[in-house]
Amino acid sequence: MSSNLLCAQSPISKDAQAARIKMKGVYIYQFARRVYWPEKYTKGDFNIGIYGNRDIFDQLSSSYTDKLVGSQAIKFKYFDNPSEIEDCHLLYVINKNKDIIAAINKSIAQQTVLVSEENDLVSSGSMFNFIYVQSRLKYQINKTKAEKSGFKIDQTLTKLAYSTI
Amino acid sequence: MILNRRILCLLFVFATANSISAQDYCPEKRLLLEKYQAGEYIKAKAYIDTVTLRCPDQKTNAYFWHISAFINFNIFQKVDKKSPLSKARKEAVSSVLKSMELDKDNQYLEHNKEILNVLANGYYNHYVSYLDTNNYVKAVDFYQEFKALKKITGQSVDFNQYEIQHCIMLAQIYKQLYHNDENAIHFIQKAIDSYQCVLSIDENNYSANKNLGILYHNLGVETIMKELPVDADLEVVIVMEEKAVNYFTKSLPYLKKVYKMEPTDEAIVHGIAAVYYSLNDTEQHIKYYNLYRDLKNSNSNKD
Repeated sequence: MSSNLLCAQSPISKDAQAARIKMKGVYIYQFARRVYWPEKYTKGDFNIGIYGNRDIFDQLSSSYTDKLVGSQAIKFKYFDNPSEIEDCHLLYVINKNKDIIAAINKSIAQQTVLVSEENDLVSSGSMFNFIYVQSRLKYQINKTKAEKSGFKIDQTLTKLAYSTI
Repeated sequence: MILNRRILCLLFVFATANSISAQDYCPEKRLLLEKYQAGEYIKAKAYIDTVTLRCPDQKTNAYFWHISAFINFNIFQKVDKKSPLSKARKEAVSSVLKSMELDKDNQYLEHNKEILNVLANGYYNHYVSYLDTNNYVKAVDFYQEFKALKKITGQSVDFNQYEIQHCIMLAQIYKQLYHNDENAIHFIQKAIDSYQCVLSIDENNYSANKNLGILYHNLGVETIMKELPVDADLEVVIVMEEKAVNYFTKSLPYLKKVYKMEPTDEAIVHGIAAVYYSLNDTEQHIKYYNLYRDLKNSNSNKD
C-alpha cells in the first residue's frame, strides 16, 4: 500500500501517516545505536540513506539530524533512484520490489546496514526488515549476515526482534 | 410582568386576609408587605429577618416564605438585573422551597411553581451563556440548578434531551481545553466520559459515536506523536505502540456504527479508512479509502 493513499486528505490522515513514520524512525535510531560497526566506521558523521519515500526522509531528517550515535552525528541523504545510492552506515529502502532491493544490496558496501520493509529477509539480503504483525510494527534481523559482515548486535535488539535468522 | 401583576393582586388579598387574624398578628410582616407593594424590595427584604426574629411562628408559615420568595425574586430581577451571581436568586429559590414544604393545603402551590419555573429558566439561560472554556464549572452548577428546579415544577420535560445536549457541549469544551493545553490529558478523559454519558441515554446518538471514534483514533496517533520520545528505548516503543493500537481498536466500533447510520458521510468513511491505516489493515484501508473517494467524487459532481 502506498502511504500516499492517505495523505493530504484531512488532518486525521496526515497525523496517522506521520505516526507510522515516527515508529519506524524510532526503530531505525535504535538500530543505529545498538548495532556496532567495525572500528574504522566509527569516525566522522553517521550517514543514514533513505531511498523511496521523500516524506519519510523529511520527517526522519528533521527529528534525528545531528543526534549522536556514539560520538558520531547523524546525517541524512535522500536517493531518488538506485543509481544515486552512495555508501552510508545505514540504508533504509522503502520499496517492496524484491528485485530492486536485491540489486541495491549488491551495489552497496559491506559496511552498510540495509533496512527493508515487508520483504523477505533472506532473498532481499537486508539486515533488518520491518513487518506488521497484528497491527504492530515488528522487525526481523538477519544476525548471521550481520556477524559475517563484522557487525555486533546488541542483545536487547535481538531479544525484542520478531524473528532472527 | 404578568406574573408580577398576578402576584401583587395575590399579595393584596393575603395581606388583607392576614391582617384580620389576631393569632397571626405580626406588624413587621404588614410593613414588609407594604414595602413590597410599594416596590421597595430592598427594604422589604430587610423585614424578612425582622419578621423571623419578632414573629418566630412565621418561620413555619407557608405564606410568609411565599412572600419572601417574591421579594427576593424581584430583587434578582430588578435590583440585581438578573445577574448570574445574584444571592437574591438563591434566596428566592430557598424561600419557594420552604413555602412549598410548609404549604400542606397547596394554597400557594400554583404560584410557587410559577416562580420556580421562571427561576429555572433563568438558570438555564445563564448556563447557556456560561458554557465556555473559562466558565464551564459555573455553567455546570447553573445546569444542575435548572434541572433540580424544573423537576420540582413537575412540568413534563424531556430531561434526556437536555442531558444529551449538555454532555455533548461539555465534551466539546473539554476537548477545547485539552487543545489549549495538551498536557492536560485529564480533559480528554472527561470528554470521553461526557460522550459515554450521552451513549448511556441514547446508544445510537450520532454525534457521540462519531466523536468518540475520532477521539480514540486521535488519541492513538497522539500517543505516538506526542508521548513517544524520538530516542525512546525499544521496550518503551513496544508499550507505546500497544497503547496506540488499543486506542485505534476502540475507535473502530464507534465509527462503524455511525457508518451504518449514515453511509454517505464522507468524514466517517475517511475516518474508518484512517483507522484501518493506523491498524495496518491494508485491505480494509483501501476498501474504505475507495468508498471515500467515490463519495467525494459523487458529492462534487452534485455540486
